Amino acid sequence: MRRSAFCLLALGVMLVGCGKEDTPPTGLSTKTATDNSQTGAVASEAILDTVGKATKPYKIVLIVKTKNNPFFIPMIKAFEDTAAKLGVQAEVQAAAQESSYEEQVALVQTEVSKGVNAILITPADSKALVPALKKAVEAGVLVINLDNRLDPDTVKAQNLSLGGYVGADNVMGGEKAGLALLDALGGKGNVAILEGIRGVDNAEARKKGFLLAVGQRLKVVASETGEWETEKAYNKTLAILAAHPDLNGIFCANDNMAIGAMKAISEKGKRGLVRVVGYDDIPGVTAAINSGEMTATIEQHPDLMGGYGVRMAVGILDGSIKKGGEVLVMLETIQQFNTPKRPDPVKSP
Amino acid sequence: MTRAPQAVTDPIERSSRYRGHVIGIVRPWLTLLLVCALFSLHPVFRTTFWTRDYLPDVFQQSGRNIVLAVGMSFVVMTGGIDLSVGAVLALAGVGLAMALSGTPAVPHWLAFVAAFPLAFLTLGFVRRTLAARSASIPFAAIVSLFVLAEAAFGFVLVQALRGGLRVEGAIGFALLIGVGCGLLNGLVVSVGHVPPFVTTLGMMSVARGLTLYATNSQSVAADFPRLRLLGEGTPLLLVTLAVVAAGSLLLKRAQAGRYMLAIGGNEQAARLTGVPVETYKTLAYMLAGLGAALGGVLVVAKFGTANTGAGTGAELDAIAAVVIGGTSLSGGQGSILNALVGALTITVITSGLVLVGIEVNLQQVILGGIIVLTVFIDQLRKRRG
Repeated sequence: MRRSAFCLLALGVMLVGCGKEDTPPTGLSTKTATDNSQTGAVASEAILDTVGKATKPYKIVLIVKTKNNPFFIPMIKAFEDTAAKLGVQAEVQAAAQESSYEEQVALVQTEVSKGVNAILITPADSKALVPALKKAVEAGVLVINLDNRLDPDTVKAQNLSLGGYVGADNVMGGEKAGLALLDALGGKGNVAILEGIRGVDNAEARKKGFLLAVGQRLKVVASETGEWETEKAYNKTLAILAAHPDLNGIFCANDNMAIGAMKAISEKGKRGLVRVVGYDDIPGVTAAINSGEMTATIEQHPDLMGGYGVRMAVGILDGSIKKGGEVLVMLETIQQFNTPKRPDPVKSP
Repeated sequence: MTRAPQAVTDPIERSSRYRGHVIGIVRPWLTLLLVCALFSLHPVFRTTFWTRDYLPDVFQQSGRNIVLAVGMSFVVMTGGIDLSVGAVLALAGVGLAMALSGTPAVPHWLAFVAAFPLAFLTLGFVRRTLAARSASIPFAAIVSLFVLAEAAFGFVLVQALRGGLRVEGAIGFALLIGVGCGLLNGLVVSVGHVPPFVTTLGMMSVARGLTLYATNSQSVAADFPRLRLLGEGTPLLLVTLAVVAAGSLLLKRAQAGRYMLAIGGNEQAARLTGVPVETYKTLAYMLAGLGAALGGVLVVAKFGTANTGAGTGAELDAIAAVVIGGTSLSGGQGSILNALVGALTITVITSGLVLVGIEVNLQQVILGGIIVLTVFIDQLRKRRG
């Protein structure tokens, strides 16, 4: 697979909260927290790469939304690998469903009472988990937010002192998808969007980013939902193709839906006439990218989130890294053309 | 239901009963026509739907749901419900894909799930043969015979999977997985007396979990040309129609169909008249499992990949198709052709809403409203008739 050159702007790093800590958490962690606000480097990918073996075998738990979603599998693997490399104890917990935040709240409470040193969490709800995490911080547990971002206003209002954030920006990913489609269509045409489930953060963010990128240049003639699912996406695409014979492209908010859309397009003999851009870079679309049937997909590196999450936790616990940093892992546009002008960017953190 | 059980001698009443029967057959078709007519008020629908290009798509889109709805019909006719078909579809789908591609390899426990119906049928056969010779068999012997058969079939399947299967064999394997899940559902419902809703809700969770466990939450690629033939065009149409025809024959011409209707109508009465209730209830769930697995095969064939999330919500689509087709959820009546019409109606509604450009969130509201309205009108008619 060719990783396109023009999008290699690995997003590097955004730094927030370099100033001093607002409120040092009470209890056990007070000492560490105060130390951190004075010593240590600000978290960034480059800095996190330098984090070495932990001084103590800390217990670190990763709480993901659910194991049902393949997205979290590389995250979990990288988390476990990196933890082993740094000499800390890793544990993974997950709720049964993607949206069950109550279960996550219970998991946070259980882990706190088990006495873990740090919790890495991809919150199922960006607001509802804040109180539980606040209690965890008060009990001296370091909390780091991965992937789905906690709502900044709620965090501020409840005075939650986070260790930091590692994730990808779905709005930016949507923009990249939009740019890829714009590019493939030469800057004009009629497009449709197959959204994820309405009301879900990343579904809305990807759509928002896509709309930002295509702006007035591409005409969005239909915006339907395939509910993240191949078969539903196939059915919707057949209808969209019939209603809009002049369609030039489809943006699918994940690759499972892109597979369904491509099937409908090829059944209708419109392969190449309707370009498809997906999201997630799952193994199932690799062949379609290579053959050019699929124009592009967006890779948002959950593996890096898992790896850098552990490094950030160990760095903060050991006092070499400041709290409150934000690391945005790189997003990549995966496309057929172009030989890579740089080595494979997937580094194992 | 409300029909008089005694013989009808009055000619007026007889003719009104006859009319009711005709309406019962025609009603689902009328619903379908009405839905089409309503949508046709919109110019975009008129110019895009009624074309040689789009009409076959309606069948392409509903094929999978028809297959599930046929299996579901049998369960609903016995007065039950099967919420597990969507999850079983996914399990059979990944079973098929893994059996063909070998990456990841089929876990051994899945081979034993597939061996379950084979072992059970063997047991039934042996018991029947011995019973014919009026020999009584001790319970321990039955259990050990079952364990032996399960182990033997499981071992054979594991060996076969290791050697690699042809497309036909892998499809057979997938169907066995579905029948296995259905058999378990049926036994728990009929012998264990656990309510169908609870049993199949549990199976829904179990099958979905096993799907994820077997594949480590990853989709499995299955891009085999011979398999993919099944997923589109005429072959898909033929498979769907064959399933409808087989289902209709089973219901109308076979003893099993009459028994299942009798169970749904009045389980006690059926039992008293000598219907082996447990057997035929179980059979209904096995048919639903078979339909679900065949649906899984069709989905994998269409997309060349088995998704762990495939068939999410498919049970509700199938139930909706059965109900719109006029089969009562309280059991005792129904027809397979109605399930076909119901599934087509749902596809016309869902794709029609996209064609005329209704806002996404409103689409769900309208679909839900139509389902309830159809059944409401049906109930009104039955009460009056």
